[in-house]
Amino acid sequence: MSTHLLRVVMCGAVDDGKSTLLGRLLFETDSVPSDEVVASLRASAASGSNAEAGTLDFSLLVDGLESEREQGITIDVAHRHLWLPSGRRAILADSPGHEQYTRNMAVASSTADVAVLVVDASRGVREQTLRHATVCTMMGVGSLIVAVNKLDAVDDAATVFASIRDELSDRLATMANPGGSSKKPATVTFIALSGLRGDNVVTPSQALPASDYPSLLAALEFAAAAQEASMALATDGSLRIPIQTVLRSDQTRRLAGRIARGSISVGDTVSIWPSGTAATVRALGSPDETTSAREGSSVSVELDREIDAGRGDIIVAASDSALPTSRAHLATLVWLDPEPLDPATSYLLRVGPLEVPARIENVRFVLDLLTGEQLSGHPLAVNDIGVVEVTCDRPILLDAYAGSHDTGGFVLINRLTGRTLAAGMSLHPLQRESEVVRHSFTIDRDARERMNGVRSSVVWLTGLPGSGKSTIADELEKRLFERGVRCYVLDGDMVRQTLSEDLGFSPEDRAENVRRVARTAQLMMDAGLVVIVSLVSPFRADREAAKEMFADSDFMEAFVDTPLEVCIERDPKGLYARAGSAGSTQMTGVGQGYEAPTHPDVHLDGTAPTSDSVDTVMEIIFRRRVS
Amino acid sequence: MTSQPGPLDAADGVLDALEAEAIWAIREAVAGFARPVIMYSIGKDSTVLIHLAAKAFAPTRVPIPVLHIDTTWKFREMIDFRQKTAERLQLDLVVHTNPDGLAANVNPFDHGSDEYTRIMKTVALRQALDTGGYDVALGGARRDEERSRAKERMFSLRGAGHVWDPSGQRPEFWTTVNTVLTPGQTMRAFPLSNWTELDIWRYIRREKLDVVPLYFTDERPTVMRQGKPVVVDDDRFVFEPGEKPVMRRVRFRTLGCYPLSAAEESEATSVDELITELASSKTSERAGRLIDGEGASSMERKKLEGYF
Repeated sequence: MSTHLLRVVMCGAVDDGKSTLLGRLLFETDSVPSDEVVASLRASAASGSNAEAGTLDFSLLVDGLESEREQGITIDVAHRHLWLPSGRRAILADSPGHEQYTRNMAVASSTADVAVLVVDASRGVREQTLRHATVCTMMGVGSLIVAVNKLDAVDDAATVFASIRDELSDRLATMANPGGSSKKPATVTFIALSGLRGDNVVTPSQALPASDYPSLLAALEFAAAAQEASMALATDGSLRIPIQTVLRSDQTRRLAGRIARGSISVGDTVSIWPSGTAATVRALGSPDETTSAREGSSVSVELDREIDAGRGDIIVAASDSALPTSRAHLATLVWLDPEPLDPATSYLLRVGPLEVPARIENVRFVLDLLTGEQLSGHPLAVNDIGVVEVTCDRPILLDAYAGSHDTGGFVLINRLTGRTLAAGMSLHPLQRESEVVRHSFTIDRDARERMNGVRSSVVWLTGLPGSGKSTIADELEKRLFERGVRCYVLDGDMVRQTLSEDLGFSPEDRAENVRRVARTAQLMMDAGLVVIVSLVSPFRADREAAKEMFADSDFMEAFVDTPLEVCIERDPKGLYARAGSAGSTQMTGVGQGYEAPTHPDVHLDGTAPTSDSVDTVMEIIFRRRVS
Repeated sequence: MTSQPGPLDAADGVLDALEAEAIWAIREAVAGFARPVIMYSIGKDSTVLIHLAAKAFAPTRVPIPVLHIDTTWKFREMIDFRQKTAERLQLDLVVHTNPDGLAANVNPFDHGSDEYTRIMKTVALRQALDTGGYDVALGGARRDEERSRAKERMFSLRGAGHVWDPSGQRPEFWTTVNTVLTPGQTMRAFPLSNWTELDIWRYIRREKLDVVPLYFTDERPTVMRQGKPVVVDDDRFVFEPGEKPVMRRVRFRTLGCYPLSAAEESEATSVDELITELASSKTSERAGRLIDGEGASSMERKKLEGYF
């Protein structure tokens, strides 16, 4: 049974004829609807296209954008479906050849199984040909089919084909895998063809020199079969399921994500990175209920006990003792943006759902694509490929890219412009003195000045005395801290002993207390912190006044809803007991009323497990990311 | 679009892979953004998308709102189907109609398809997204539908005014989505990007999903427009002088506003028959839409204005 879509990237330098070749391939395999062919015929006639009158300009079948058809170039990747004669399916990504659009070519190759590298026979191997070959190899493309195109247009095709073949074979043998980020060098094969005339594309032609395959279609068919065979043989790697979200219902709590590597079954013992807590898989959805699931499946995992896990954490095998975690990692980087690398800037590093601030403090070398030389002391700029040291704000699990693309490949983002600046492929973690002690980093002023990757905001916990506010606040702070988010708890008792030591418990004094706490929270928020306020704040008007000091997105009113009887029974500080015996008129819940919020931003069940409440609040905090 | 659907067994493995990818994308959109919304057009692709969303979040219900842009010119059977679906899945359904367009009685007969589509669909969509403050909108668009769609990312960035910049798309690697948005930016997510029309129907068959009955052939009152049968769905239809509806056995390959959706003559009354018919079809799905026949790039231009 075919379980795989073969992903193919078409690449090569500009004007080497990729789009024409792909259009020809789609047309001759009957993969283009007839009304699109008619539309393209009309466009061929109308535009100043190279095609002779009344014939089809095949490139117009795939160049989908108006500006592309106008300029006669490919700007971004087009995805087209191709059915192979065996019934297997391929998705072909036609990528641009212009150096300016290398980023788009890199995107297409990052998920490709096979690359078709097109070389114009009349121009030979060019810098962009080598750049694309390098990117494909780095990205771990398993099979490279070199299509030597336009051989109908040269004299002595056999000699030209042989010389391109020799030159490229030599180059590919010696270069194209800086730092060794790919598992193994790609299998390289060569085929002589003409996209324009259709020779050796689908139909074999005697007019061209003998190649490794009778046609490009045959080569793709072979690659698809090989891909399937290797997948059937593949042994499972160590388990990795990056958690995207937590699904919570009344009865269950499920960790949801896609299996990046390995497989998982009911009964397996797994562990959560980074907390390290182990648990057993009780139930599994993939997405329907099942007993086991393999790599690539989207799953939901129910464990036999409540453990701390959230978005960005990773499910691993409990037996996995050698996780590649470190603050620093060595990686290959393709720089995609006109804005060059700046070692002083803190970028946002993202791998799957995991996000962490990171810097590139050291560029070990940049690759000279023409000579294969490793240049040191060279800055990394647009379209450059190099090997760098990445330093994160906290230790992260980053696999070697060769073994796991989804947990070893990352992007760097400029958090102010939102642009994706670079794609990285991890080689291995770096061990440094500074990271021997985990969690040794302190929340100092300098650290606060760096952005959290999470927007600073205020979580205002309100509820009766004994409702569980402090417990939730404490747990929340711990969880935020573990994730490297700077935060601070403004607790009612603490405030009463300091900031509001001059105040009593009359309604007026309570209003003033709330006001002071809100102002303090505002200052702390401005300083970049997530501020957790744990305060009875019994009066709606006071809370409204506090809320009005903030923008909607900066303030979260969280109502810890616990029945009075439960609070009295808990009475952690003996307040209810004392108030009852003293006949207090100023104790909330006894003498004074508590005005429950009518529309809190979050409604927390104070009788539910603390971790549920903390999960809910964490999720909202992490959704309010930097913008 | 294909001439060779391939053996059924082989296709199932492909469906598994497409399903896993789509669920990943749905979860990523919902967990990675602050205010996600699902765009629901009631058609077959939306039906699959909603089904996948339900699977992605089982056992909880779909945790985000579902938005339908109602032009008031949809087939009546579509609106019935929408209500039943919302009820069955307990969806948080939001329906929006452009109030200005409604007040001005903008309709496909008097205003022409371009202007009508711009006001009742594109502008309406922008209004609904802005009002809801949604930062990501999930849609059921597929890359095989149309050539500018074939160029689009699975997570597709929109600038201020919801415009698409096709030559400056955000790079998209592996399963890593850059979810950072600067003020004014929003995201569109297309979890079904890599599905074909035939995949959609095979999946509908496999999962035994209900679809709007208009996809299956029946006797329907029609008139011819641009050489194609158009079904007269209600008494607002504007006839040409002397024109009378004729009963024809037709079905729809795509559904939209009824005066702008051409039917096709067919004998397919079941999903099996429909799949067989589709597998031998040589035309594209959009051939039945009377709205984007105006030029090879008309869809691209609509998208530049903020169309889905």
